[in-house]
Amino acid sequence: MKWPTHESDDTEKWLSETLEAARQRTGDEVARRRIWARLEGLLSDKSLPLLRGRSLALPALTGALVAVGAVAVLWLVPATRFTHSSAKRAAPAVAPVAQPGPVASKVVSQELSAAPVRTGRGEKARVALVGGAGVELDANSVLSWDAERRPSVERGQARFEVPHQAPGARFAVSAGPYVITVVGTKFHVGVDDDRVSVEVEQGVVEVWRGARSFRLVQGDSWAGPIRGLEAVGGERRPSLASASLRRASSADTPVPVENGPASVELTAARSALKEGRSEDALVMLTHCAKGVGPAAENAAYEMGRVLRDGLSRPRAAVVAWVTYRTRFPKGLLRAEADLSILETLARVGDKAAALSEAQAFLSRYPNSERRDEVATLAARLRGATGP
Amino acid sequence: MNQQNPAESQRPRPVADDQALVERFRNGDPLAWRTLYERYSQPVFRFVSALGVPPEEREDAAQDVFVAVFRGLRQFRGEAQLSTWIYRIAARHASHLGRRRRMRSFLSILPWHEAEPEPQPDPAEKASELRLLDRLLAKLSPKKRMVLVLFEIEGLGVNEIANVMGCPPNTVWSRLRHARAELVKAARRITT
Repeated sequence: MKWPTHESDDTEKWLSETLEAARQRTGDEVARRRIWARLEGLLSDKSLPLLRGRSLALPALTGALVAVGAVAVLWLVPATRFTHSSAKRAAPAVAPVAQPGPVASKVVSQELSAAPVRTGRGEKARVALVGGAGVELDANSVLSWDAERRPSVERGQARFEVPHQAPGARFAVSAGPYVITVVGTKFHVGVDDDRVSVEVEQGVVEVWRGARSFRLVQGDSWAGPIRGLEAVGGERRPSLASASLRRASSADTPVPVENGPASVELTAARSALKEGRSEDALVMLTHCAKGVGPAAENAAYEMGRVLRDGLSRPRAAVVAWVTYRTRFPKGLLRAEADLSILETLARVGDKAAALSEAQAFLSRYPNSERRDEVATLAARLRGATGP
Repeated sequence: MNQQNPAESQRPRPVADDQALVERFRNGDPLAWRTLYERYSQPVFRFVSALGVPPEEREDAAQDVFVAVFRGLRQFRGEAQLSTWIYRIAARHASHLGRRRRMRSFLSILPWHEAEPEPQPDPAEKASELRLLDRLLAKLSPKKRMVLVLFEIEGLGVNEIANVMGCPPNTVWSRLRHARAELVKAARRITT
């Protein structure tokens, strides 16, 4: 039986509407991402009891864990700071996780274990990474962590599966002199003696070298020379332009883009935002978004976040994200923009528009890890908007 | 008596079966745990919010719930739905936090004890209606509040609520009837 029953009664009508709003209370997305990050750290220690937020034991235990963790990290970091050339000489800090036979499976925390993962002939390994990502290492492969704690494919083939990152966050993998950044996707990275290759199974990735980058979309594959890697200290590096790019789905070859000044402006905008200067950040982002390349795209997306979260202008934020996706229909942050529009429309009570966005999302991203979440919201919106 | 919650039919069914995810988790698939978290973090957050956990404690509360879920998942026998089991853990934890809050509140009236700060509204929730609803729900007894929240907000059926709360379905119906009546009464007092 539906309740409240007498919707002609003002009080019951108010209750009915407010209960519906409570059903749509999505919570703070960033908070949920933060909890996930903390859970990963906590759950890597199996002996930790159920936490009680402000119990007396927790601060002491946390302090002890942090201290032990810090000592462990300090002890491990020097062992992981090796380049491709020195990796061949470096002995693993712990035994490799790969086991013979079928795919071996072991959770390796990027934060706590910095030992390279190596697979031998006929071996495979699956490694869990921070942020919910996973990687399957093929035979004769080496995965380590670089100086910036990013997973680094040293040799062989690796297939990465990366869930959607928190808005604004990116997941990065290094391979030789290149850095591959993603928001959420599946892709393969291969490294042999003289080249790095990337193949995108799903989503969009960016391949960076220094301040230059280009973008690969689903179905694309690319290979670039690795020569010059050992010369990080200043010898000649191959330019991105010399990399060979094979487009499986499109004829327009992406052009490497310089990101230098725009990146600086984007960084300044983010600093302003951290200091609570939302208006200043918006001015910088607007200027930066007028440029080209990934920094301009990031700025165009982040304008929406500043408008909604910093300046409490959700309608203007929706307009900014719609502008973003019109300008970057295959953008790296396209899915994030779609979700942000959907979430904001639902928050301001524009149920019909939110439902339409939710349905478009479900049809556009049938395999998205956020599918359940959006389907739940769509069902609720459908109930709220009627047949 | 019809034990079906009309909202229950609107709850979308998970794409991948919960039990299959639990199996994958037991077999060491780290992505299964991530999927479970993505699936249940929002309901857990909403549930603890509706049970009166103040905004500044919600993050800790949800984290505690998932630590308990992670610890217990290998022993989860599948006799109840996974969602029921997670709601039960969240309900117990929210009750524990409620008791602790009431104790702190009681202690704060003692002359030598520092007063508890007023809970701050969640900046992510600008709707004053939701805050008003939370105030009205706070007037219900904890058991009635839990039944009402599970039925009206979370959309669980009566049998599932009985499983979460460990009481007979008729008791759930009875508490629900009283909770609804008390909520309308309290709302009338405020809105008129």
